Amino acid sequence: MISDEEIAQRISSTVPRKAPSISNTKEVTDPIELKYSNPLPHVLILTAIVVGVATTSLGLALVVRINETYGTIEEDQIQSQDDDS
Amino acid sequence: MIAEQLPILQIIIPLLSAPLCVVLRQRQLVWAIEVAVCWVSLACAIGLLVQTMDHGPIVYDVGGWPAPLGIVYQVDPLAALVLVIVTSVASVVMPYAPRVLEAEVAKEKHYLFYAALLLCMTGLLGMTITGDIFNVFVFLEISSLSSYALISMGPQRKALMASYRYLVMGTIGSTFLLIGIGLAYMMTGTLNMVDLAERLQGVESSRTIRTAFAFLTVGISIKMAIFPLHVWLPDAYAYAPSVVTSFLASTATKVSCYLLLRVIFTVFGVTFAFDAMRLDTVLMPLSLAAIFVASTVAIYQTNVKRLLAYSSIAQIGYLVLGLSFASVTGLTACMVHMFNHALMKGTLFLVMGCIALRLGSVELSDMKGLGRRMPIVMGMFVIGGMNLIGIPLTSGFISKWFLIKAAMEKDLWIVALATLVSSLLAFVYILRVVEVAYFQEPDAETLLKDESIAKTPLSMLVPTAVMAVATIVFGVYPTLPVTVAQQAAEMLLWGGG
Repeated sequence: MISDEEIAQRISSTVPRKAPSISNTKEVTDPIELKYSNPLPHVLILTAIVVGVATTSLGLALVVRINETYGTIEEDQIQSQDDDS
Repeated sequence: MIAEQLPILQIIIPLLSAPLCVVLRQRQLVWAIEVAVCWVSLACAIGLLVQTMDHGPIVYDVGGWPAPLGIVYQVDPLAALVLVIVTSVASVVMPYAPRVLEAEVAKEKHYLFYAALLLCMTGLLGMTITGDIFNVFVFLEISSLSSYALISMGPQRKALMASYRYLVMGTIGSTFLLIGIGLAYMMTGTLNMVDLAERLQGVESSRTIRTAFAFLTVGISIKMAIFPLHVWLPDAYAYAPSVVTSFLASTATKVSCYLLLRVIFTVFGVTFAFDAMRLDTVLMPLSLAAIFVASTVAIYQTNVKRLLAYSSIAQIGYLVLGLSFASVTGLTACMVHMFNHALMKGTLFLVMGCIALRLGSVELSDMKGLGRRMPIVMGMFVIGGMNLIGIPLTSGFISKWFLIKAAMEKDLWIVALATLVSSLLAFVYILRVVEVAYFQEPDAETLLKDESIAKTPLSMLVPTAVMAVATIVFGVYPTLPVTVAQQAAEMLLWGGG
C-alpha cells in the first residue's frame, strides 16, 4: 500500500502541487489541496487545444480551397488576380 | 414544468438539430426543420423574456449542479432581450433563405449550410445565456467557426480570402479572451461570472487583474469590430452569401456587444472599469472615430453591401458610445440601439439579397433606375435607410434620442452635437444609393436583361417587409424595447440581479 503522502508526492512530481485555484499570496495548508492538483485548469487547457485544432483544420481547409480557386497561396498574387478581375 | 426548462431548451434544440440536418441531407426537409427550430427558439426566447420581466432573473443549474461548481444559465432582462433579437432575426431570415441560396450556393451543400447556420445561432444564444465565463469562450468558438465556414460559401471567390482574414483576426480575438479568462481564473479560482465579480473585490488593484481586463476588452472588441479593430468586417459582410450577411450583421456584433457589457458591468463592475481603469477615455474617442471614419468611408463605396458593412461599423460606434457613458440613459441607448440596429440592418441586407438575386450584383452602377424596376424592394431600402439616418417615427430616431439625452446628462455637448452631425453622413451614403436607384435612367441593355428575370419571390419579399414594418412599429411604439432596456441598464449599473 502506498501512503497518502506518497501519492501526493508522486502527483506533485508531475504536476504543480499548488492548485492554481489558490491565489499566489496564500499559503497552502488544506490537506486536500496538498494532495491533489485541481483538474479544472487541465480541462480548460484541453478544451482550448481542441478548439485550436478545430480552428487550424478549418483554416487549412480554407487554404486548400484558396489554392484550388486561385492556383496559388501567395497573398500578393491573389491580390493582383482579384484586382484584374 | 416546461417553462422551468426553457433556458436549456433554448440551447439544446438548435444544438441537436444541427447534426440532425447533416444526417438527413434532404434539402427541403432540412430547411423545414431549420424554420421550425428557429420558430421554437423564438418562442423559448419570448417565454424567457416574459418570465424575467415578471419574476426577475432566472438562474438555471445545468445538470442540477449548483453554482459556482456547475455551469449555470442566467437570464436577466438584458440576456432575454438579446436572445429575442437573435432568434427573431433567425426566424425571419430562415423562410427567406432557400430561394436566394439556390442562386448563391451549390445545391448539394445546402444541408451543410443550414447545419452551420444552426450551430452559429446556438453559439450566439449560448454566449448570451451562460453565466460561466469559460462557457462563453466555448460558445464563442462554436459561433465563430461556423460563421467562418458560412462566409467562405459566398458566391464570389473573394469570399475565401475574406473568410480566411476573419478567421485569423477572430482567432486572435478569442485567444485574447481565453488569456483574459485564464488570468482572471488564476487570481480568483472561479469561472462563474457572479462569483468572479465577488472574488475580484479584494484583488482588483493587482496587475494580473488589470491585464486580464485589458485582454478581455481587446479580445471582445475584435469580435465586435470596434474601430480600429474592424478590418475583417467589410470584406466578410460584402462577400458572404446574402442570408449569412443578413443574419450575422444583425446578430453577431450585438452578441459581442452584450458580452462586452457583461464583462465590464457584471464581472469587473462599473467602479473598476470606469473609475480605476478609465475605460471611457478610450472607448468614447474610439466610438466617435468609428462613427465618423466609417461613415465617411461608406460614402465612397461602390459595392452597396460593402457600403452597408462600413455603416455597420459606424453603428457599432453608437453602441460603444452609449456604453462609454456608463449611465442608465447611456446603457439604455446602447441596448435599444442593439435591438433597432438588428432590425434596420436586417432589413437593408435582406433587401440586398433580393437585389442580388435579381441583378446578380450589388454594385451601385448596376442599380440605375432600380426604384422603378423593383419599387417595393427599393421602398423597403428607403425605410431601412431612414432608420439609419434616424428620421423621427423610425426606430433609429429612438436610439439617437437616448444617445443624445445621455450625452447631455453628462454635459458632453460636443458628443451630442457629433451624434447629430454624424446622422448627416448617414444621410449622404443612403442618398447616394437612393439617387442612383430613383433618379438615374437605366441603360437600354440592363432593361433588356431585366425582362428575362423573374420578379422577387414572395418568400423573400414577405420576410423583408416584416423587418421593414417592424422598424417603423418600434419607432412609433418604442415602449417594449425601451422598458426592457431601462430595466436591464439599471440592473447592470446597480446590481440587484
